[in-house]
Amino acid sequence: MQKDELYITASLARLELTEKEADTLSQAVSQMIEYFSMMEKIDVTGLEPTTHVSIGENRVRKDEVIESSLAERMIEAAPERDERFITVPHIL
Amino acid sequence: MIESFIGLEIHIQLLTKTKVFCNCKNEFTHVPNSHVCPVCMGYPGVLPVLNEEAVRKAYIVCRAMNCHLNEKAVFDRKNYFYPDMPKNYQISQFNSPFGVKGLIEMDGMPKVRIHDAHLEEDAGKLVHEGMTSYCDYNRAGTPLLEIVTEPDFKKPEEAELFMQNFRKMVRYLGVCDGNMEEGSMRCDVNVSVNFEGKGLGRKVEVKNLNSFRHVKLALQYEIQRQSRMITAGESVVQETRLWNDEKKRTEGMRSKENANDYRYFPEPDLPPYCPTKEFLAQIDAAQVELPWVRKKRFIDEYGLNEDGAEFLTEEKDKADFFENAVKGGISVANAASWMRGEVAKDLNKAKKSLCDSFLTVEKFVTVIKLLEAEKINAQAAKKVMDIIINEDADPMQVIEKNNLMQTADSGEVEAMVEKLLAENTKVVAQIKGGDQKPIGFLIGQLMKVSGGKADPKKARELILNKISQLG
Ligand SMILES: [Zn+2]
Repeated sequence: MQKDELYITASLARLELTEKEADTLSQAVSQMIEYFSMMEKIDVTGLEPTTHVSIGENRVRKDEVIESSLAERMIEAAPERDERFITVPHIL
Repeated sequence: MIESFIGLEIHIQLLTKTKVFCNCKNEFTHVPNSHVCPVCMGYPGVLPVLNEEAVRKAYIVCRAMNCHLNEKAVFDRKNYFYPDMPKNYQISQFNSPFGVKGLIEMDGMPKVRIHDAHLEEDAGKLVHEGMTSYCDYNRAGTPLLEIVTEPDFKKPEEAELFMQNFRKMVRYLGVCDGNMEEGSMRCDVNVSVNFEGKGLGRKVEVKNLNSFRHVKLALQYEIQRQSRMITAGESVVQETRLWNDEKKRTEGMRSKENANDYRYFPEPDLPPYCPTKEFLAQIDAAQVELPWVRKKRFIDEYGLNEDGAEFLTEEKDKADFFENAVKGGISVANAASWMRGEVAKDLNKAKKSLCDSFLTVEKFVTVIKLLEAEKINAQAAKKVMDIIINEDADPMQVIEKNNLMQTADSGEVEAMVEKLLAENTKVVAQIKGGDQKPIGFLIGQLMKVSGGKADPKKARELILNKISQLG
């Protein structure tokens, strides 16, 4: 993988990479991409593309309210908050 | 000549009790982060499960828009980083949404092709203040249906009219309350211009439109701006702009990240949804006559004028009420004019809608039938109508209690006229002298003393008769 491509991917994932990390990673990522190209070579003619293993039936639930007992604890667990609001730096 | 091409992206919040992938309440509240759980807060290790009611309502809309329904609908992750979505992705549908290739046909409007309708989750709400953003995730994960049209509108007015009808449609279907100010229905537009015959131009998206009027104004502004540019030989930049309602103009947004690369991929936590035959039969059964179809039928079938049909088909309840009243045996003219006039006025005064007032079709028909049979006069009918709209009262009892029945034999009224004439000798002399004007005064007095029981139509004749009898 080209390093500039890696930087684009990293910025989309909000990762900051040092030059050294980028060197190591671009090698590792190239290797992963190679695995995909190996898979791409497999002959799949006649096979229907699938996203999930079939479970036969639709998985849905009834439209019934169950209040979570964890709401308060999740607010408390937020790294920064102002009363019930979770706060983050204003970006964009 | 320059042509413009307008497409709409409409988001509607579906009316469900719970969010789309978890059991949290789908309800607006002023208490931040009170309807949240690990699923909608994007905690690791949780499993989203699809809300069947959100699915049902989404399909009802797809069907009403004549969409082709995919045999297998697949959910995808749309990846983006913004604190309104704690998971860092939004669950949506990309390659195989519920509905595709729909078509909506309305009178006086080009056919509008629907590109697709897909179910997704709404984001949370952020309030920005200084250097801080305050996050409230009550809305995060609530069901949202996005409907994307092809760029089939040529004029801003068409887009506006379509939106108005679309809003009526989702309300008729009972899937969304259609409130644009509160954001339960939102609309982004895309617009491009080009020299005639050259096809689509470079597309600009405009967001932040909170009313039908904003939609129209933003489109008018953009078409002008882009037309000026291409006429001057400049090229339009493909971008997203925001409507600034104070300045009445669209403004470019600060450049967003590299590209809108959402890296969609199938949501591994949610299996595809395959509508069954039984399910689709239920969806068909939930279809209703659409507002613009019904309006046209009201004009054709009842001979109503455009305005009358528009008014009566505004809401499904109102249209049902009207048709049931006519079925109940009163004239179309009376049903329409009383609903548009007195009933609308009283409801407005009481700040109520037809369905949350006390008025029922039966009570309405009872009053209008008495009026048509001249058992009560219009003034009395108005009085009764006002009472039975505001109170849970029986119209017959109201009429009896207030003694509003028109006196069948005119003996009582005649006596009143005689008394009135005796008390107003000056006025009588005037009339005798050939001045017709004071008759109105006498009629008014008669209505007053009779408590509205006298028939104003007959009162004039009666008064003149009595005066001539006075010799
Ligand atoms: Zn939740």
